[in-house]
Amino acid sequence: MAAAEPLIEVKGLKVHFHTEDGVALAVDGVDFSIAPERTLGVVGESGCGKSVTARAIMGLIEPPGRIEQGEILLHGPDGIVDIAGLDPRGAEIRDIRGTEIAMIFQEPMTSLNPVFKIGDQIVEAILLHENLSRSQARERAIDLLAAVGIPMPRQRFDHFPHQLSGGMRQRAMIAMAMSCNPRLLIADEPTTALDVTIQAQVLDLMNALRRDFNTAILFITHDLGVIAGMADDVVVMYLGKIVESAPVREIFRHPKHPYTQGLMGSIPSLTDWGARRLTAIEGVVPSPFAHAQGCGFAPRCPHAMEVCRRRSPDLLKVGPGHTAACFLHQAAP
Amino acid sequence: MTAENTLLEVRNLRKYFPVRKGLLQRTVAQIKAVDGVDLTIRTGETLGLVGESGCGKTTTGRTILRLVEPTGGEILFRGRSLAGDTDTAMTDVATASPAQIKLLRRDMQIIFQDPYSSLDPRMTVGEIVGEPLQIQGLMSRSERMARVLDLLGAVGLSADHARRYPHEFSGGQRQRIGIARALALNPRLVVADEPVSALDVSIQAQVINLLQDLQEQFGLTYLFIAHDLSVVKHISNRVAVMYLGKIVELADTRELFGNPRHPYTEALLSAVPVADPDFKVERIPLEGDVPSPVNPPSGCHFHPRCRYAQDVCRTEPPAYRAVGQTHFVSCHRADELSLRGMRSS
Amino acid sequence: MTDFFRRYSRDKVGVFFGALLLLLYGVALTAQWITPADPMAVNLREVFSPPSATHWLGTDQFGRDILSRVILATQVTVKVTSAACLFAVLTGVPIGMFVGYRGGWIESVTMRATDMLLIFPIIMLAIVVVVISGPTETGVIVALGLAQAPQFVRITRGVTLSIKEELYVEAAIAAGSGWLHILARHIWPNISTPIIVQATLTLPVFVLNASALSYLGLGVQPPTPEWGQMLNEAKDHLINAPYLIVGPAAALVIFVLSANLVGDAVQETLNPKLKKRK
Repeated sequence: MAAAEPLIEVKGLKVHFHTEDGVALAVDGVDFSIAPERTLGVVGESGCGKSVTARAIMGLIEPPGRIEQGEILLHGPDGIVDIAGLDPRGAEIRDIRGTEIAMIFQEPMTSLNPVFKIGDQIVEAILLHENLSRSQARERAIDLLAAVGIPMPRQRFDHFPHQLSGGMRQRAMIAMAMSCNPRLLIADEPTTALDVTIQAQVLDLMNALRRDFNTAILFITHDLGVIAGMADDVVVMYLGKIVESAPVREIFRHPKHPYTQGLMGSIPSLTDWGARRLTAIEGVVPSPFAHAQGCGFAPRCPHAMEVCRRRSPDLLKVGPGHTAACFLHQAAP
Repeated sequence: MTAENTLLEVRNLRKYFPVRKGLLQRTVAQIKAVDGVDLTIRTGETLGLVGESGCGKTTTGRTILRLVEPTGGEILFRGRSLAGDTDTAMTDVATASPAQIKLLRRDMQIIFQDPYSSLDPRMTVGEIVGEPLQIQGLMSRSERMARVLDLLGAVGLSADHARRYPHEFSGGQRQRIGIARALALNPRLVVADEPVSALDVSIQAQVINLLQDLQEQFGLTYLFIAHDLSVVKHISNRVAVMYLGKIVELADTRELFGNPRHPYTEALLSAVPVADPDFKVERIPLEGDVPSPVNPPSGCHFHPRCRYAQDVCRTEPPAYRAVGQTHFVSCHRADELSLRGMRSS
Repeated sequence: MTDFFRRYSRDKVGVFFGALLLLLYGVALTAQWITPADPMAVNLREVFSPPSATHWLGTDQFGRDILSRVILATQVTVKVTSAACLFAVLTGVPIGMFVGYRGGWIESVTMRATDMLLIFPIIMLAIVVVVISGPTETGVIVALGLAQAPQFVRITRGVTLSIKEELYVEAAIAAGSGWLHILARHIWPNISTPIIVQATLTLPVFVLNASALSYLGLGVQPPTPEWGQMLNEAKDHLINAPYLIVGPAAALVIFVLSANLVGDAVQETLNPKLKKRK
């Protein structure tokens, strides 16, 4: 599955938030890599650390958050940069943002400036990183708006964000992200706020762009349906840790971790006609301040064993390209 | 005529919101949020109401409960006599007096989408769940407390939760509290307005299972409003699809998902992402966005986005008619088109 | 509530001036017993005596002990301003809640009326009231309260508007609740915090206005002492007895400053986001 040289490697990443209520282990030892032009889907429920991981890759962790440990290695033509070691406000990371890695968010309204025309915002993004004249940048911006399927791009260029619908805003946001041909696009729940028909349009657009721009995508979502249609590989996160990782077909066919199995049992099927009952995961996600011993999922796990409450399982191989952090699939230590 | 097992019958329900402008706040336009909705709900069933944001599904639910004043139409509801279990004749909720409404509220309740805004942060869980009983002046203080504890048990919370405050609970638990409050008066009809869409996937499943258990236990009837088609398919006996203030199609769940007769339903079904990497459907692209309900398109509201549209669709609004025993659709071409539904896998 | 005090105690400035304000209220409550001399006793043999061991702040043109008069004035001021503040809250808050919740024409009319009251200078308004009622203590209280009540109507209406959109209000309506139940059970408990903050923040305004009125001779009438009125008398003897101004001026400054800083501290404690922005 993996090409010889990954595009980005995350190794042992730990991001903690030091707050009045204690230390939250938002990301607690995460390893993964993305090969060029692949799409990695990250699935998990709120508070599992998926968005914090993405922000760490963008160098956007601000106090009270802190990268405690680990490396985020970006492989570029001029060697390897460790993003985790860069100053979040420094020039180096600013160079990487936009040109190497770009990000789109769930609510495009918060990332587009309401007082500037969308075209001008894209032009700014282009001029920030590339040596073009203003009129060249303008032409490029109009091309991008057309490429993301915004009708009448020349007229839309002069529109303000509030004049666009949610779907159009997300398209404009994508145009801005793609403006400097990034090698990695981080999409943090990009379609969660959109209606299904608009979501379908945006997902189709992202698939097309992936082919045209040869961009790798880190796709973060809670929606297993979206993941199934978008990702090449999937990692499942729970309480700041990766609990399972596999190619998309493998993980949907043979989920190994009880949490992954629970998630799949929790969603009602559109294609299955039997009146089955949903197999919900009991209980609630524990507080990230709790720092309990053992496997984080043990309190909710139907298969929890004695060892699960004592020790935290490692992410080990359970099949081809398939790893899971669960003692059920490991020889008891 | 109204059948015996009909609990609610809505006829030509309309709700227009005025758009006001200027110093004198003159009405310059009308937002036709609900524009002629007909539906019936049978005792004991779950009717799903789906549609995209702005289609008027939430306003429909609120108007049926008279939380929003209807602009026109009838909302016929079969209440209970004061004494107890005997049914009364159908009452028109739309024209009921304040005193009648207060009585009707015992039989019609609502569950909200947002589990945060729906619980008063200054009240204990016990006070919140018991409040409807207090408002209706039912039961003594100690009877109320006992009832509250029963309800908390029914929704899977424990008795010692009654003294705590909402901020101590997670989203899923808060939703359970909201459900317990809705059940306090022992209602017949519960309008569930996107009750699981703010919750995480695993919690969503818990709440859906709970709603189904409670329906069985208390003989509830649900109007289940949601945008998530897989949830609606799972929980509903029948499903109505709304678009721009009108119901475009209504049928038994299996029929609607397997054999849709309206092009909008077909496109909606094809757009839902299916949690199966091998499930490849050809998406039916819907061009553009939902038009504004201030100025809906002429003829069939859906025609600018419909790939089957013909001249008649641009000029004549289609009638809402039966195309099968229990299948209603509002499309000029329903009889000639052969549309694609969800295949079972 | 214990949580409030725990967090408030972290604010050093708030704690210090809070203690100062409490001290002033303590002085006001016990004024009768702690005055070193009779504040009303005229002693023509000791007129304009400078500060000394017997008269710490000196005596005025009638030989009355200034310190004792300042202490008694504290009581008068606290009484008048507290009553006026209560008057403003008790009229402004119910009106604000009612019109905010009900909306419609009654809201428009009320809000335009408060706008009209707000553009009147407070002193003008007070003069009208005092002219009608005479310069009695009650008149002053009503004048001061009426001048501030529109502020409370406005702020109460504002927070009511936001709370009435909460779904728990709709849940209560769906259970058959009337407006009185909703105002008492849901709106008031959730708006009381900003109202309390507003009341503490306006307290110094009341004090200043009370002093301004009596400085102009429209407030509490002699021989009952009041800071503003004492300042007015001191002004006439600024050259030969400059020490007369010290007592009332210091008391006024301490009260207004403490009340202001305590108001800020309360606001920051209840709404920590404000502090971060500073």
